[in-house]
Amino acid sequence: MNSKPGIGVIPWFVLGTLMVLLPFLFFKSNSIDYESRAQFLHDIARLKELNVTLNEDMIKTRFGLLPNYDKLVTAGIAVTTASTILQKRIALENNRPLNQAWDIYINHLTAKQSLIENFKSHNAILRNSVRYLPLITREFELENQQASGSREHAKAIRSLLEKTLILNLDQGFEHLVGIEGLLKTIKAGSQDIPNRARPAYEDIILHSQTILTFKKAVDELINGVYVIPIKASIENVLATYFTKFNAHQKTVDMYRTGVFVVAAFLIILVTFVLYRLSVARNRLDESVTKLNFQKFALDQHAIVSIADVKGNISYVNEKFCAISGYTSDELIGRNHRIVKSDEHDKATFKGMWKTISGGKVWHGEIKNVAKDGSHYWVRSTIVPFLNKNNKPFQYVSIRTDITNHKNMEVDLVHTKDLAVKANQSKSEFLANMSHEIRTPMNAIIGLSHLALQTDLSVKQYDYVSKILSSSTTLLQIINDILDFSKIEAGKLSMERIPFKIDTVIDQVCSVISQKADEKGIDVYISRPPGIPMHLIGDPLRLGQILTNLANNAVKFTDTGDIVIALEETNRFLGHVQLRISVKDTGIGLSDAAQKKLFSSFSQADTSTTRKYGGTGLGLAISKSLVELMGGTIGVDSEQGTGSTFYFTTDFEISEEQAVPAAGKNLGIKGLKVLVTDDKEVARTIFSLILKGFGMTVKTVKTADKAVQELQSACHKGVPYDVAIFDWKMPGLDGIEASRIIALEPLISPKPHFILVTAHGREEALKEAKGMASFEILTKPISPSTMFDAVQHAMDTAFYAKVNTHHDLLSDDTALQSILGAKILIVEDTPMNQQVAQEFLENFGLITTIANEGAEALEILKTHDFDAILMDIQMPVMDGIEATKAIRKMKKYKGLPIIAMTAHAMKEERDRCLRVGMNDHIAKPIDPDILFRTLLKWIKPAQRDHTPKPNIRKFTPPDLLPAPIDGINFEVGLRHTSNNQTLYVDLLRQFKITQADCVSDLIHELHTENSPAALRRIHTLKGIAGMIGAERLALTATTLDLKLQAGPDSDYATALTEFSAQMDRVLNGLQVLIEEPRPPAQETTLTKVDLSQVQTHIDQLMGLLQNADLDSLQIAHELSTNLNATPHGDMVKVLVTNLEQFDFAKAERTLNDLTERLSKPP
Amino acid sequence: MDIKSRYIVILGLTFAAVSGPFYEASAAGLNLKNEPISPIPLKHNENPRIANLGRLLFNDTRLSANNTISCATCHDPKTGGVDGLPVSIGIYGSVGTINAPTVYNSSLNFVQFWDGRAANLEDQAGAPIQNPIEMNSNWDDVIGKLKADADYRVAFGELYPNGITREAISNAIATFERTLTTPNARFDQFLRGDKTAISTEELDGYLLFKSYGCSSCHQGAAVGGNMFEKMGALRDYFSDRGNITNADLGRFNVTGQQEHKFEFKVPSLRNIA
Repeated sequence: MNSKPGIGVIPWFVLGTLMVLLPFLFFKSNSIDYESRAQFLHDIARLKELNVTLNEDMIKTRFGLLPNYDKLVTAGIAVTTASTILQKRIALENNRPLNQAWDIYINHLTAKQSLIENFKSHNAILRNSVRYLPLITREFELENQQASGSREHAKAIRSLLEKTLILNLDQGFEHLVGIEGLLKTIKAGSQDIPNRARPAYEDIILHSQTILTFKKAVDELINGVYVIPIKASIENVLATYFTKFNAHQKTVDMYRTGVFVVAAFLIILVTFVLYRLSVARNRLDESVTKLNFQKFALDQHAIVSIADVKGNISYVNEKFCAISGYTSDELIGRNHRIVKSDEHDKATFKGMWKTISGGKVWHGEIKNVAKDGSHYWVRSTIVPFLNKNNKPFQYVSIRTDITNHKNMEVDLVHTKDLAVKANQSKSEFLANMSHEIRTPMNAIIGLSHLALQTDLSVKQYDYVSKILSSSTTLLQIINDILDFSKIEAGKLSMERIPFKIDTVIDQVCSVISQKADEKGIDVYISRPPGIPMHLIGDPLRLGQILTNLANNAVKFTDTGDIVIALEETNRFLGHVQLRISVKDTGIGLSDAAQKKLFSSFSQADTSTTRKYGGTGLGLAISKSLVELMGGTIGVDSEQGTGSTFYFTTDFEISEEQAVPAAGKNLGIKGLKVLVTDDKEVARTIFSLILKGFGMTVKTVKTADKAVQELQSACHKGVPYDVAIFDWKMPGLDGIEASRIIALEPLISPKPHFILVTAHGREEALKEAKGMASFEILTKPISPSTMFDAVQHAMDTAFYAKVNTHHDLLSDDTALQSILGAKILIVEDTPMNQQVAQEFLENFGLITTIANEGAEALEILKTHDFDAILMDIQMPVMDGIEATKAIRKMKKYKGLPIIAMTAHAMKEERDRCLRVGMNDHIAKPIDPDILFRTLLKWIKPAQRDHTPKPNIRKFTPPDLLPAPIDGINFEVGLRHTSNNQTLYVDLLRQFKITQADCVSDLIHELHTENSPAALRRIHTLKGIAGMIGAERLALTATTLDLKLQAGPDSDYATALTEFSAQMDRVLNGLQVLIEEPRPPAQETTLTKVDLSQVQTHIDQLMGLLQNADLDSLQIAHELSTNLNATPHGDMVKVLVTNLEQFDFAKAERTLNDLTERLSKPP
Repeated sequence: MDIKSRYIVILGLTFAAVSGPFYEASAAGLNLKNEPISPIPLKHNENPRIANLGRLLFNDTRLSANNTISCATCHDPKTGGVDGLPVSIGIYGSVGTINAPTVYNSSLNFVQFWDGRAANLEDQAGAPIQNPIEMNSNWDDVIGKLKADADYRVAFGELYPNGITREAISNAIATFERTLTTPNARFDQFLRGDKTAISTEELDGYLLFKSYGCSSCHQGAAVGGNMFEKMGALRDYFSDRGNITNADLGRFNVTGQQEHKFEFKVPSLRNIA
């Protein structure tokens, strides 16, 4: 219902007003008093009649028809009384004209009555005389007769009497003259009247005259009465009354009309109201019908009940009955508790009552119990119906049967629990995997490192180095997968530690530079000097992102360059927002590819995966990491042109902000620098960096122009302090330019020369050997490397030391400070024990091994150490417990304990630090990190140290020959963990083993033995890479690819190049071959040391049971011991078994050997 | 019918009538129709309870200022309705200006007082109460005093819708006064046809009374009292008498008209013997 049915306020108001108005109008319309009117008319008529009667009575009195005045008086009083009555009535009328008319009448009446009174008086006198005159006349006649008076007189007097009496009754006065004449006559003869008759005579005269006078007066009075228009005045009153009455009647008529109108209006209104009511009722009926439908619909779906405020049921629908099993009769009147189950606690219902009694709607899910005791679940909505005081008077509950739903929910919860458990299992599995995989990886990588330091055949060296590189790759993949898992599980958290942005970038560059170098791609770093160096954040993750992007850039770029650019986009309140981008000139990406690029397991397309390899997780991880850092990642790309991957992140600016470079180092600010590079991007970046140092920079495109510029500057007397040349340039290259500059007399003073190269440093050195003095700066160039280079160039006239890889391992001073330090290695895995031990002892540290925590505590009771390397997961007592125990020992409160764990997770690390460990290093152990960490914690001191004879001491640098053409010592040394002895040995072996490589290859190719050729070239590729013969490795790769393409492919050029490089390397290595090999160990034993043999056999037995690779080494030693004996063959079998990793067979062979040895010869 | 023609008719009718008494008198006959004197009605129609209330009031001295004078003081019904003094003595011994008229048959007077200043008995009743030399009181005092009397309250309450008021008091007194008539005198009996009721001498006197014109003024039931007449209709009475007082001006004092000077109500000749 959207419109309110019924009647608004206004009609009711109007109705009310009319109802009030109607009686008023009705009263007014009935205010005419017809009875009063009739009475008035009657009174008027009576008044008129009485007045007439009064007049009549007056006339009657005058003419003696009435014997006395009583009747006249009565008539007069009657008129007065009637007048008084009417006057009162008129007074009630309260009408001015009427009153005025009445006043006229009253005046007339008063005048009339006054006349009548006068008439009465006068008439009495007239009558008196009229009565007396005959009497006195007779008396006169008698006296006159007796006295014999004149008859004439008597006659005259008789005549007078008659005439006077007639006059009295006469209307007019025609007799008057006669009477007066007669009187005169009588008076004239009066002297004749005898004396006796004289008194009578005089009376006659007096009365006659009186009659004459009073007759006239009386007649005048009567006339006067008649003249008064009393009748007219009464009629006037009546007329006025009528006027007034009619006017009143008009008013009344008006009121009557009013009554009629109001009544009509009322009828209309009532009709209207009734109509509206009827409409409202219809609508109400309609609404009721609709409501019934709705209720019906509701009843079809919902379980409905209505209860009063106490919860007593007053209505239930069929559904309610159906679900509860009760009939409605059983339910109505009962309390709702009838279906209450004990599922919910009291607080639930309390809360519900509180809500609904407060007039609010309650929603909830309730478990109810049916009549048969079964349970059902309903989702219930309880709506309180409020009365006018907003107090609920009943509650309507609408429920939906959710029993199935609930059951499903329970199932779901169960399923979810299972899923969560499964997920937990997965997480645990991953964590375990992390540990389980890293532990053997540690062994593999560590042992590979160690193996490379041992005397290996070229073939072996190749294998091991491949194992190492593959392991490293595998570790990287595993790390990616673990990272991704952690990100997915939300377990990855960001660190907030101070770091140097340049360090991160340099590390990234060092990781990618080799590959970039191999592909001939230049890497540039654009870092505006204004960007804060020291930041707070997660350098590891930042590095990871950047490495990822940079690796991709290298991977997908074949020619051109890569620019890693930093840009400050915002700075606020100690924070800086950086936009870090990696721009390449690679294959680029389609728009579609860009869109799905950052999702998991995605590459540009599947063919890309085939071509370029990779897990496809890198960008997904990078995206997640950037987002965890609170930044965004994106890509701009054009297919075939290149891509720019960029991300923005916020960093806090560290307090320990470095002193500006220019201030730190005097002398380089204000220097004049000439930059010569054919590449635009290089010129821009160098210029930017150098200007940042406060230098004056000029850039030129070619070396020719540079020479001219230098000459011109000298000529002008403003020579350049530093000249930076790119090596490989079209036309004059950097090295040639340096020669020209050195020889050019017009350039003086000579600028300090810096050669920038993306290629082998050694090549540059060799090219330039003895030609000029210059600093070599390898790409990619960061502000810090540039700064160092400039500084070195300025400091040293000649500085060609291959030492830009500022490795701590070669830092004698640092090493010296911890040399001889005693380290306790607590580690349960023998292989890891070996790795750690050998690494440390290589550094000149003294190690002791404890297999688990408890053992470590035992050792610590009797021995002192400078530091402990602590594994975490160990049998008996783990690293955490051990640390806690150690920290309880007063003596070792400050002892540095460094955790070694495959658990790379931060949580694990934090746990270590919490229990009192000082630091943490991740497995597989990076020698560099291990050393740095130890250096950080071990107190510098002069310690006695005697390096173990069987452990190679850190090789002094002088073992290396002079730079050899085509071999990058740096690379080679890195591959051999700076083991120069090993390296030199490797180089020597290369010279020997590969002397006939090319001829063999050509032979194989000619005999169409391509598998052999392929194997050969493939092997060589690996070895060449390992020893640092980078060009050779490159050409080998090219050749390899050509050969793989098929026997018909044109490999001639590749073969020629390969051959040339091979010759170059072999020639270079010639210098080594003259050197005598170190004296080979005496292998012939005169006497077999049986006890030693037995030890080896026992040792070997244990290792074999563990399928330990160390067994091979022991087997070799055993072989050495028994070579000359009759058991030599058997030992050889053993070694072969082991070389085939057939530990079971080896064990059987060893058992046979032991049996044979135990028999007396 | 215009006034003139009507006048002629009436004149014609009355001729014979007027001549009647004339000849009757001369015949000293016994035809008593059209006698100038009428008998006093034998009955009155007054409410006896009101009349009784009026009687109490008539004798109540509380109508006067100091509760010393009642109506009856000067109009004692026991003494012929008068005090018997030439001029009445009012409150505090005040001496009035005129002779007190009798209360008997006062209702037959067409107006009250000699000069007719009261149209009826009701009007008349209040005048002495407020007259300073008579009762020297006022209506409020009188009503107050009467209301203090429980009997009056009951009596008035029963008889008058508004209880004790000026009108009610006046009406009660007037009603009482209207009961004070003297009907059925021998003369009245004579007039009603009993020819033996009066003596021959008395009859002769009556005939003379009529023939000498006395009955011109002294006529009606009260033998007077129903008209005004000038003292000295034919001769100048007051000039002859001299010493004219204000009261002598009579009706003039009421109407202020010169012609009403010396006019008085014609006195009733009843009960004067």
